[in-house]
Amino acid sequence: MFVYTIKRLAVAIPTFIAVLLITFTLTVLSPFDPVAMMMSQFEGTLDTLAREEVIERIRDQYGLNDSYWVQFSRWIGRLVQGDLGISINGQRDVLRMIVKTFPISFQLGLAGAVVTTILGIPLGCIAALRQNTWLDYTIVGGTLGFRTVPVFVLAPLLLVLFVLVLDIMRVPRGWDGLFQSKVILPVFILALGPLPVVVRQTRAAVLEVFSMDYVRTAKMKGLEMWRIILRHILRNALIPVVTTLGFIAEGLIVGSIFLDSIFAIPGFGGVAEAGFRGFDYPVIMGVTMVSAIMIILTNLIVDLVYPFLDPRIKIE
Amino acid sequence: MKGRVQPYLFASLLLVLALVVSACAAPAGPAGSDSGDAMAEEGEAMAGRPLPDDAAEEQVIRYVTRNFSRMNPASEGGFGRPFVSHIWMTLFLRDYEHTPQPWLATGYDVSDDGLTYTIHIHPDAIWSDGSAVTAQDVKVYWEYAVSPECIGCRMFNYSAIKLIEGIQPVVDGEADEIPGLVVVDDKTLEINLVAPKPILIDTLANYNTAIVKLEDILEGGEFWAADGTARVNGPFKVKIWDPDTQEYEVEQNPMWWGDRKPYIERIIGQASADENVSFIMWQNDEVDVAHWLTNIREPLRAENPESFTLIPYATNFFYTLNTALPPFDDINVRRALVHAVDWDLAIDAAWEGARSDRVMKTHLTPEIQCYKADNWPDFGYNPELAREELAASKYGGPEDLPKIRITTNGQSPNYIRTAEIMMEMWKNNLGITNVEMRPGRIDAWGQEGEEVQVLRRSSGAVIPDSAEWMNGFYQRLGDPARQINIVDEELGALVDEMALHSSSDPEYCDFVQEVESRILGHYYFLPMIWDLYEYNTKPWIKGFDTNVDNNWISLLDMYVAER
Repeated sequence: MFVYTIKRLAVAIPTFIAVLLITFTLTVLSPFDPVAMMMSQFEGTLDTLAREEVIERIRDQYGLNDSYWVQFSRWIGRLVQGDLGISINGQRDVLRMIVKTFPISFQLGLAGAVVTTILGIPLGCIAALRQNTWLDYTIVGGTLGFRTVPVFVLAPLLLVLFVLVLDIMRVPRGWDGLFQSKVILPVFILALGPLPVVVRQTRAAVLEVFSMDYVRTAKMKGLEMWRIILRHILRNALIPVVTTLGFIAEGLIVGSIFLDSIFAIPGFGGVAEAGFRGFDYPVIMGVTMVSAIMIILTNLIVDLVYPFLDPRIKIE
Repeated sequence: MKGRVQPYLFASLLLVLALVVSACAAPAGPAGSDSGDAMAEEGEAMAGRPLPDDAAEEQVIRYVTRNFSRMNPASEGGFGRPFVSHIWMTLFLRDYEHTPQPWLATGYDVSDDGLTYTIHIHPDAIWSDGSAVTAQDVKVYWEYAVSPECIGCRMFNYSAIKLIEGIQPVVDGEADEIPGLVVVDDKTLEINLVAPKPILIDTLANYNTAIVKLEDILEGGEFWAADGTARVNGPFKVKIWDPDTQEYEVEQNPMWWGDRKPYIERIIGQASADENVSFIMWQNDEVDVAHWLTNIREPLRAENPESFTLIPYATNFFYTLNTALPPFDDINVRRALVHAVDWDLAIDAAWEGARSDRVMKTHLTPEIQCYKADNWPDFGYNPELAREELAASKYGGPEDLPKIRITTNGQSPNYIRTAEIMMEMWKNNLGITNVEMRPGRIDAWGQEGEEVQVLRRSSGAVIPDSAEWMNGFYQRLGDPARQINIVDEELGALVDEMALHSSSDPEYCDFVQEVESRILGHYYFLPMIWDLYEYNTKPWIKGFDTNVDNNWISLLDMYVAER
């Protein structure tokens, strides 16, 4: 397994470099000017007819007027020293931005994945066991329905309901740690995104396993239904579901862009959103780098965990 | 059997462990936490100035707006402005009528030739570490603030600052010292200009010129102002200002040297990128002061107009026409396109009623000196006249008109809708159909960018002086880089004459209005709006007031009443 891991990591390195190169090239060569975009937020205070001098000076200060190769070699030179550069829009250290925000998104993403699992697997199982009944349609349709409502619509609607109509909470904002009541709503909304995937995958897997000979044998032996579900159906049905959960968690960690902005959570998604919105290429590069590492590691971990879940699979 | 169960248990344990470990490792501290400490300090903070009878026990303002940038007066231009001049003071602070009032300086003298200003710094002014604020502090900080080392800083670009003797080499990074700034004594600074500029004092009331202790920046790096350790000279200090954790809070400076202590103990900034959410917070009384950029506030205007406080900005938004490119090289086409659009109707529709009273009819806005409502009498919807003008142009009619390219310079739906309505009215009234609009920046046109003739722009009186604003317009009209290309030598002579008059001169407004009228007469733009920036305050916030720089100028007297 050690050799396999080393080989996988070795293959990942050129992939990683290619991702960085492509992202850097697309960002730097794009027609959008991050400084002009930054200055657009000051429209009320800076005459747009007079701002060219300021823009030009800031571009000089950030070295944006240098050639592509000068900029690329400078970025790589800094990267090998552990320096991701300075955010053009935020005027602060990109590495610090990521280091401060990533642990928060990591916790939220994992919590979201746990909630997805806790809700999704039983719901998928129930839907399969009650296949083609109103309950099946309600579970599959309901979770899919929530999924189709964008977060930036769903979250304010839920806030109106809980804060203004029911008056049971204040608008949850910011971050005081994972085990705080203000995290409940964001985590719940986060979990709704991948929920239909887990539900449908569990449902399909359970239906497939349900018709297997060994399940029929278990039934004929007179085992109780819950015992059959837990011991014989779920254990086999969940292998593909569990591997999917790795990718779901990864997606939730790096992808909570709207949630961060709605609930003022100082997370990685907010950093990514600000970077992409302002075409702030040091931030875009930092975010891309972390996301690429997350995807590569998740793939690797899932591959390494799979043989533990299914002994029929061997790593070679 | 047991051997097969273990991996699940192992994975579950790992997951729980990861959650616990990461929870412990995460930075703690809420954004906008308002527990305990301030009340303990209240007794000290309030010493010497009793609260008004109706004041609440807790003097805390919760302020919500879209976002905050790093707190730094030299590069500020965003939503930290309301109190930045009460943390690091400017020499002067503008009132609502735009008149500079003494702030860190007690006053100034100006030489007869208008070239030398002697600034008197308040004798009691001290930094929060107890040391005196000196003229040397001002000089060395400004020398840094205009230099290329000061990333994103804007002081160098003010016209009056550019006239300080010997400043350019420092701006260019070729020298460290500005000879035009002379320290006369600890509390007296002399500013020597190379040409008279009556708006120098107005400029020194702008937050970008506020005085910071240079050593704090040099020692503290990019986060010098984030954690409250930076020295301040105003009535408030930063408690925490960290965009990474989204914690923004200022509190009273216990070393404030002024004779009036503020009532307000703390101001908690709440950044809310989603204005729907900040509006829910407003409705739930979770915020005291709000600043929204979109039409989200419009439902409030009908039911609670008294919650609005106008920021007296002088800003207008419009589409400029590049007169060097056909068909705008013919003034008749420009006139026709203006007269073919019912601007009142267009703006009402494009802004969904939110700017119906702010249709741009002149460059000078009602909030600025010398505003004359009918200074552009020829402005107005007149399709018949528009058709005549188009027919009188060298293009003769819509058939031979070259393609018109419009860029909205931003994704605002208001700009896009305005452009769409213009295009529709040009089609209906003039038969012009060869028009294309692309939302976003001019970059969206790629190689065709150089052929774009219509660009959405804005212009504001950053220094609220009408003559300065008109002078700026004139300078930019002829600059090819601005893509307008109006050349008018007579106007140039008029502008030169206008510049000789100060705002207190009785003839000042006559000159300003004449220059404006002549600028407007070039029809180099398609008007949109005088913009409208406002605060909403809850009824328990008393004495709230703001100036053109978006500074809460009444912060020393503002208080929170009982709800």
